[in-house]
Order: sequence, then C-alpha cells, then structure tokens
Amino acid sequence: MKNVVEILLVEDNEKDIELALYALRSENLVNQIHVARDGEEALQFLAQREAELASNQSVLPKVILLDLKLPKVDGIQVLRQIKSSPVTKFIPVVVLTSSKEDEDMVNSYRLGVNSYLQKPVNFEQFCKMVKQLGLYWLVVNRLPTASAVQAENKVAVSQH
Amino acid sequence: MPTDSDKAGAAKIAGMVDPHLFRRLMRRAFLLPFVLMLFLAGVLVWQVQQLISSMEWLDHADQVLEHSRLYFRYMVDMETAAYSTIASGIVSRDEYAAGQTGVHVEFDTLRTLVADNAQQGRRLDNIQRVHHEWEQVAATIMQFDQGIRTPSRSVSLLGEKQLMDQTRRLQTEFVNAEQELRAARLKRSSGTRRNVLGAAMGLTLLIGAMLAFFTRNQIETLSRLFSAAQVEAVQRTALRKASLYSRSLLEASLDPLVTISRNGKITDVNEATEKVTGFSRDRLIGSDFCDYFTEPEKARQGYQQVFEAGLVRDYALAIRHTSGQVVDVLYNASVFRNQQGEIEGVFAAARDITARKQAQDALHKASLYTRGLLEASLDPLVTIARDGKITDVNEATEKVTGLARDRLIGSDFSNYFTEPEKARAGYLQVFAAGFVRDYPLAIRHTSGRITDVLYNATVFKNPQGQVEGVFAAARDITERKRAQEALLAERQRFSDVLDKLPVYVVLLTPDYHAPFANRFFLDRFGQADGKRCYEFLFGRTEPCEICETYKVLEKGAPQRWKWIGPDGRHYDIYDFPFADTDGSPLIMEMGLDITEQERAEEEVRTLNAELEQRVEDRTKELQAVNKELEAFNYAVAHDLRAPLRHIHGFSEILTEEAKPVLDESAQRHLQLIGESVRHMEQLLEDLLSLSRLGRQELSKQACGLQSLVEEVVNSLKPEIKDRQVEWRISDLPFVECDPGLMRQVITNLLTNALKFTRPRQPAIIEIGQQMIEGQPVIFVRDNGVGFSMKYVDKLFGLFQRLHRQQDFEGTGVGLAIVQRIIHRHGGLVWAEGELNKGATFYFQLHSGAVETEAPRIPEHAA
Repeated sequence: MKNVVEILLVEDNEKDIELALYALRSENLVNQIHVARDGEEALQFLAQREAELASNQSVLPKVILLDLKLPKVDGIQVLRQIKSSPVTKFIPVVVLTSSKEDEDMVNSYRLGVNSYLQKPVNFEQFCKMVKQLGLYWLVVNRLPTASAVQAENKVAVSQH
Repeated sequence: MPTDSDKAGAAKIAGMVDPHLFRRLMRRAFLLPFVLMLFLAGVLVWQVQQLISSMEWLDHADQVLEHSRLYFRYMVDMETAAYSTIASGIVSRDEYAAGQTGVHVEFDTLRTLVADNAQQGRRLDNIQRVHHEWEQVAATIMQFDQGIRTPSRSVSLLGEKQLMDQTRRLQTEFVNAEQELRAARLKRSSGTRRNVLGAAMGLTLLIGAMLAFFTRNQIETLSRLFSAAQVEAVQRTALRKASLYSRSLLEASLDPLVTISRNGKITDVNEATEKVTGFSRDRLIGSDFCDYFTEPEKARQGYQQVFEAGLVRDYALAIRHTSGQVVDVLYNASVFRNQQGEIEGVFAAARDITARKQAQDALHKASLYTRGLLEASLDPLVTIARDGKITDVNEATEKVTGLARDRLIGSDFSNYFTEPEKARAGYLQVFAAGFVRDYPLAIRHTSGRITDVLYNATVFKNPQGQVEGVFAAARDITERKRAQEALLAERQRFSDVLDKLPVYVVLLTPDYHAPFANRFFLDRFGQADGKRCYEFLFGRTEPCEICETYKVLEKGAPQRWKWIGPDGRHYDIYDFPFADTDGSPLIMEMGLDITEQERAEEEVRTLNAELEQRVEDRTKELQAVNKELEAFNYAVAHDLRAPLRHIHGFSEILTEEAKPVLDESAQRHLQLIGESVRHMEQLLEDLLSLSRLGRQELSKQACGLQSLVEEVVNSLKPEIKDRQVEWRISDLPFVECDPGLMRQVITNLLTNALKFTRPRQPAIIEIGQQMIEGQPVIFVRDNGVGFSMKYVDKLFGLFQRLHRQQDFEGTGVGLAIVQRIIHRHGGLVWAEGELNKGATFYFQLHSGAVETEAPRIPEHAA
C-alpha cells in the first residue's frame, strides 16, 4: 500500500505548493499526495501509474488538483490529455487556479473538468476550501474501480 | 192539319225562349193525371168499403145463425140428457151440465152479436127466459132418485115439454127473422158488388180516355218544341260559326281595332289593341278610349267627330304602351248602326305609322346633322346660283363678312371681295370646269378687315343631273400666314438662346453630320463645314469605337456620359433622340464643361483615401494599445495575486505556528499585515473591474430596475442581519441597459449607502424615480453621514475618498466604477449631500429619454 496516492497536485509555484500542503496537512492527507511541478511531470506520473495497473489495482490517484498556469505543458493541455485517455479520463480533475478569466473556465468545462475552483487570497478561506475538497472528493464521491473500467472499455471496444 | 191550338202552340214556340214557361207546362202535365187518379182511387175505395161492409153484415147474420144453432143444440142436449135420465133412470148429469154450460156460453155470444137488433134481442131474451123455466123443471128431473117415479115428474115432464115447445117456437122465430135479415143483406151485398165493379170499370175507362187525350196533347206540344229547339240550335250554330269567323278576321288584323260606345267607352278590342296598349282585353273593355293616348283630348275629339260626321280618315294620334313606348298611328273610323238604324257605336282601326314616322324623323335628323356639319365648319361655305347670287350660307360666312344670312342670301357673291371681278371669274370657272382648287381671294368684312382665303368649289346637280349651283368653301389662310411668321420669329429666338448657353448644343445625323451647332460648340470645336463629326473633331477617317452618342440611335433612349474633347477638357454629355421637322431621326447632344468639377472631385477622393488610411492606422494603434491593456490586466489578475496569496498564507501560518511564542504586539503586527493584504486584494479586484469595463461590450436590454434592486437588496441582507435597515423602494421603471453592469451600479451604490449609514439606527435607504426636466432620473438616498458639497468633485474620482480609512473602509473605486458604467451608457451621474444628514446619488441612463417605456411595475410586485 506504499504506493497509494490519493491526490495528485499539479502546481509549479513552490510557495503555492507549500500553502497547499499546509492546508492539506491539517486534514491528515499529506502522506497520500504526489506533487508534479509541471504538466510534463504530471502526465509522466500518470502514464507510469497506468502501466502499473495490471499488478496493482489501486495506483491511480482519486483526484487531480490542477493549476492552469504551468510551464512546458499548459494546464489546459494536461487536462485535455487526461480526459482523452481511456483510463485516466475516469479520474476527477479539479482545477485550482487564481485565474478569474471566463475563457479558462469555459475551456476547462468543455474539456470535461469535474470542478473549477478559484484560489482565494485569504488563507483561512483557502484552508476551508481545501477541507471541503478533501471531504468531498476523497470521502463522499464514488469512483469506479480500475478493473471495472477496464472491463467496460473492452466491451465498448468490441461494440465499435 | 194545324189546329188553333197548334197555331197557339207555334206562337208559343215562336216566343218561347223562356224555360220557366216550359217548366210550368210540364208541371201541369203531371198534375192533371195525378188529380184524376186520386179521384178514381177515392171512389173505388168508397165502393169497396161499401162492399166489405155489406159482406160483413152478411157474415154477421151467418154467425148469428150458426151460434143459434149451437144454442139450440145445447138445449137439445139438455133435453136429451133429461129424457135419458127419465128413460134409463140414470142421471146423465155430465151431459146435462155440458149442455147447460154450452147454452150459457152461446147465449152470451148471441146476445152480444144481436146487440144491434133490438127485436132479435128481445126474442133471444124470451128464449132464454123460457129455457130458464124449462131448466127449473128439468132440474127436478135431474134430481131423480133411482127407481122413484113420482107424479111430479110427469107433471114436470109435461111442463117441460110445453116449455120445450115454446122454446122451439121462439127459436124458429128467431131463426126465421135472422134468415130474413140474412137474405136482405145478401141482396144488398150482391148489389153493392155490382155497383163497385161497374163504377170501377166506368171510371177507369173514363179517366183512361181523358189521360190518353191529355197525354197526346202534351206529346205533340213537346215534339213541336223539340223540333223548334233543334232548328234554333242549328241556326245558332250557324250564327256562332259566322261570328267566330268574323271574330278571327278581326283578331287576325294587325291593326288595333276598337269599338267605342256613345259615351266614349271601349266595348270591344282585338288582340292587336291589347298588344299596342299593353293591357288585357278585360282591362280595356269598359274603360275610356282616350286613356291610352298621349293626347287624350285629341282622341276624344276624334271619336266625337266620327259620331258627328259618320266617319273620320287618317286621324293622327299616338298610343302609349304601359312600358312607356309610344306608337304613332293614323285612325280610320266609322259608325255602325243597329237594326233600327240608330248609331250604336264607332268602329275604329289604327294604322301604325311608326315606321313611316321613323323614316321621316331619320330624314329630318339626317338633314339636321348635315346642317349641323355645315354650320360647325369654321370655313365659310356658300352655295351660288347660276346667276352668281348666293343661295345659302353658313355661320362662318356670316362671321367673315360681318353680315347676316338674310342679307347675304340673294345678293351677288362677288360683292364681298376686294377684287370682285376675280371672284366672278372664279365661280364662272367652276361652272365651266366643274371645280376649282385653292383659288386665292380676299374677303372684306364690313369693319374693313380683310381675310385672305383660298377657295375650293364644285358644282352640284339636281336628281335630274342638271347643274343647280356651285358649292364653295373658303379656307382662311390669314392664320396660316401669321403662324408662319410667328414660327420664324420663334426659331430666331430659340437660336439666340442656344447661342448664349454656356453649354454646347449640336444636332447630329445618323450619318455623322452636324447640321446644327450653337455658338459654344463652334467656338470650342470649330465649323463642321459639311464634314463628319469624327473628321472635324478628331481628324479620324472612321467613326470612334467608343462613341456613346450613337448608342442613342441603337437604343432609342437618352444617354449620359463623360467625354474628354479634343481640347482636352472634360464634358458631361447628354444625348437625346430627336426628330427633325420632317420626322427623320437625329441626335441632340448637349455638353457641359465639367473640367473644374472633375479636378475638385479628384482632390476629394485623394483626401478621402488618405483619411481612410489614417483612420486605419489609428485604429490599428488603438487595437494594439487595447491588446497591451488586456495583457496588463491579465498580468495584474494573476501575477500580482499570486504573491499576495503567498504573503497572506504564510502570515497566517506564521500566526498559527508562532502564537505560543509571539507577544501581543507581534501578533498585532501580523494581523495588520493580513489586513493590508486584504486591502490590496480589494484594490486589485476593483482595478480589474474598472479596466474590464473599459473593454467590455455593452449588451443593452430592457431591464427591470425594480426586480434588480430587490435582488441586490436581498443579496445584501446577510450582511446587515444585525442592523436595523429600512428600505424604501418605490416604483422603478424598465430601462435599457446592460443588466450585469447595472447590477454592479446598484450594488456599489447600495453598498455605499449601507456603509455610510452604519452609525444610524435605523438606517433609511430610499431608492426611487424622479422626473427632472421631463426626464426620468433614478436616485439612491440615505440618511448616513453624508458629505460636504465642497468636495463633490472628488466623489467619483479614482481612489478618491472623503473619509478616513479607519472610519470607513473602502478603496475609493466603487463610485468610479458607477460613473464609468453610467457614462458608457451615455448617461449622467451626480450626487448631493450634507454632512451628517445624508447623501443622494442620482443617475439617468440617456441624456435623452429612456428608450423603452415598458409598463411600470406596480409596487411590491414579485
């Protein structure tokens, strides 16, 4: 069970990472977080985990917290990749960004983002948000198991 | 063998038409035999009655005899019974009793029967009396005891025998009397029978003979009557046939025929009369004859004339049909008399002369028409006789000579001319040659006015072919002369005008010649000299390919185009299809020199192009600037925010972590850092909003302010839940605005109002509508701390604040945003305030009226 990652945090700014981790720590989730510092890293991580699916069923994260302003591969791109891959598309993605641009929001939803949050400047509020996040996506929300997904995909492919 | 009665009968027949008389005779015929029969019957009945009566009496006598026989026999029976008793010694009581009974019975019967005869009655009573005595005697016998013979019995017997004999004697008397009676009655009866028969036969024969005689008479009369009637019938049929025939003749006549009585009433009509009047026979008969004419009085006079004179010929009248159509007729009528020779009435026949009249009318009309034509002619017309005298003129002749028709007719034709001899020669020529053409003369009017004319004349002949006279028409040519002169003058004037025009005018023929050109043309392009246009204009040998002018002939429509002439100048050409005086096609061309205009236009065009370019460049610049601004804003939004977040975050963390270590002062400093960060965030937020406003497209819609305000108020409620706030929202209209932006305006204004009324309890915030100078203006009024009008100019400035930060938080951007939004809508915003009293902010969306005047929402609507 050492490889279990519940949350994949994709964020480039160190300080933001620290703040996020601090907030998550207060929820006792810090052991199960993997941080990717850019889009490329995030996708690589996911690919790797996907490969391990055969041997270890629960290696995919339960939720991906995605910042949009990322170097190399842009947040939107990452989102597109995740949501177009047959396995990773089942992982809920929550965009966590400081952008208030409608364009970003619309695009994200169009690509199938599961939730879109704007980081408040107020830290207290930020902590509250994170708490709610964790509670919802890790505890309340239900996800299909990897094997179930695989089985369905096989059926879908044969029906094509 | 006609008897007197026959003659009378015949006379009767002759006068007999009366059916009443006939019926009377018939009655009589029946009555007589009937009466006689009745008489006969009566007599017979009487006689028969007699007979029956006598026979009855006979029978009666027989009955008496019969009953007396029985009576006597019963007595005998009693006697026998008594004797047998004596003889045998046995009492024959039964036989005796039976006889006794019988005697009584018969006596009663007989007594009744002979009641009518007193004598017989007496006799019978006697018999009975005696018998009764005998019975008494016999009774003793009957009481006889066996074997006892007593002397009383023999006495009795003797007595009895005496009595018995007496009885017998009486009986015999009675019977004889009765038989005598019977014989007498028998005689009577026979006599009566004889009478009856005789009477019957006799009467019957008598009556029979009478009847036969009478009947014969009647039959004779009847047969005479019948044959007379037959004859009459035949006569009548013959008469009817004759009358039908004559009736048919009358009806067949096409002429309306009537008979008129002395008092002027119609007594009979034929079908033709019905047709011509349109009334039925029934209506006509009995009505006044005159009613059906257009001139009733004339009609009346007509028939009266007939009555007086006996006849009338060809009397003209006009019959009016019910439809209104009038038929002209000539009446021919005569009287007719009865057998006594007295006039009974008038028989009138009408001859329809409509056709004839119509022909006359047509002729009249035709001649009127002809006359009309002659009179209408403007040319003076005359007819001239062989001797040179005028025989007829029209009105025009009267006019041209100034003399009346009466004066002219009969006078010499030549009198009215300036050259009488020439005139005479003229008409003589017509008589000689038969006609004359365009013979010039001059007519003199009485006023002295001379009229130049040309004469055209011909002879006219009578039906026999002889020349009767000359018919002459004069054509007035003074006008023509005058017109020609005027035309020449006009032409000259026109020519002058053309020459003075600042445009050139040239006429071109289809074969490229220019028969006419004005001064302008000649000055610019020189004389044509009979050359074609392309020759003398351009020195070419062929027509120009791009000549628009000649397209006019092709299309038959005007052309307009621009041309550069051989002198290098620009011309605006107008080409028109034009017809020469003789009708041949020409082109009229007009050319305006527009060289200067062209130049000016060219300049304008160049300038425009330059301007366009400049505008484009400027736009490009602005767009570039805008893009920069957007990038700037984006950067502000993200890049400035991030560090801010970090500062805040870490200072919070620090506060948490270092709480046990930090003292109050340190903690307070950290808190201040937090506050500063928050402040900065707000500023950034506001700045971002403001800049976005500058870029944003306004999407104007009809927007209900009432509901918008209510929504904003509701959204602010959580913030003021601990406060006492009185909202006074009155009717707010629909306005045309961007709803999102308007929401921001309201939010900012209300937030401000709430903020600055915080010290007030209650805070009263009023939102409503006012009319200022006829325009609707929205206001937000509060009873807050207000502001001094000294600083009103700073109110809407960016980051300008009129209060200290510690008293009232805020970035000073709110009102700037409001102003920016309102200005973007093309409206106005301003404020009024008083320190410690409150402030009122006004805005109106358009400098004009609010465009969409939607119906007002009533207060407190949902």
